[in-house]
Amino acid sequence: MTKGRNGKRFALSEDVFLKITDILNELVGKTRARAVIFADSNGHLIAQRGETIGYDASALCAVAAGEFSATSELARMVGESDSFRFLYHEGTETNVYMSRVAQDFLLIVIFDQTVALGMVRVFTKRGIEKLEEALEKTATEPLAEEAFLDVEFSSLLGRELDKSLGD
Amino acid sequence: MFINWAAKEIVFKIVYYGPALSGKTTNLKYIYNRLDPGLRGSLVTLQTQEERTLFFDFLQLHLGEVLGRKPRFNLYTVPGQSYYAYSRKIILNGADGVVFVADSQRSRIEDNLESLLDLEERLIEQGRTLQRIPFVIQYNKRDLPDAAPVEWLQQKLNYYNFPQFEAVATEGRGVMETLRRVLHAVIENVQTRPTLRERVV
Repeated sequence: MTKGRNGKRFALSEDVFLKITDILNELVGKTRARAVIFADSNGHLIAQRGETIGYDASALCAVAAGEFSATSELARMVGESDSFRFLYHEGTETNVYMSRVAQDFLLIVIFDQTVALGMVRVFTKRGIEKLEEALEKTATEPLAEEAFLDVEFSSLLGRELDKSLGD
Repeated sequence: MFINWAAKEIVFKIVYYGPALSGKTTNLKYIYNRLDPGLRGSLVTLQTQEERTLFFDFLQLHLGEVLGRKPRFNLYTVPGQSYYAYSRKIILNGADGVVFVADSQRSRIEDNLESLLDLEERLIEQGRTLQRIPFVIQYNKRDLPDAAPVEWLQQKLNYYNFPQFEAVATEGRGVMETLRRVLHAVIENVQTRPTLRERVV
């Protein structure tokens, strides 16, 4: 939901996805966070590690992306040239630390009171650097999106829509 | 649209637009209640205490697997009230299709027009146009005594002759038809556009 992606299509290669999941695995291990979630700034869930039960991760990503967008307006109002890089929410039992990654992605770390915020900050910062590197390295990698969205798939998807969403 | 090759997922974004109190949230609530839980995620509504949409509503549809690939449709509503223009702008970003939920009442025609113009302006800001985005109009609240004839609404609002449906969202009338039509339009758009490649990471 930020500059660069307005109405545009976007595809993530298998290679980059595996790098991202490796980085998330490392991050969840080092921080002892309950869960680590990677999403794009439009709120599409890309990958998650750690606990996956108890909440709808897709909905969580949509809300997190919305929150970043809202606070980017707040940032502008107080004179920041760009959006805030980190958002932190502290609860009685659970905390959420969210970071912007590159321009188009979000990293969400969910952790409880036994984990120190400082540790989350340090390892998240390193994780972001690695994620940005992984995303940067393959910025020019060609992908055959047409292969994903071929005519047969579209035709079958259309039929599935009518079947699943019929009255 | 977002494609994750490793997870074999493709995610589309559909936005329900329209003036305040036209029934956008009611559409999503009906879809949520109507569908088997295996076909959808949780319904997220960010509302004020007066049950007006503050930021957006969100519902994900997942239709199982098609040829080993997992299609997902993220449905959003925007807040209709005029002072939430910024929310509408950011929610519209990346939309693959739009449903415009119009209030059929004759007294709301100006609100409908204002919202439609607002939508066009937001799209133009993004370098897009209404004619080039999969778009469906829903004339909601057909059961109210002040509901204007559809022909009149068509003349006032549907100047590009988009697909349109009559609806009573509180009863579910027209809701699934509208949804199916916009999703079909989104899929057709995928097949007909000249190139898919706009950005690759």
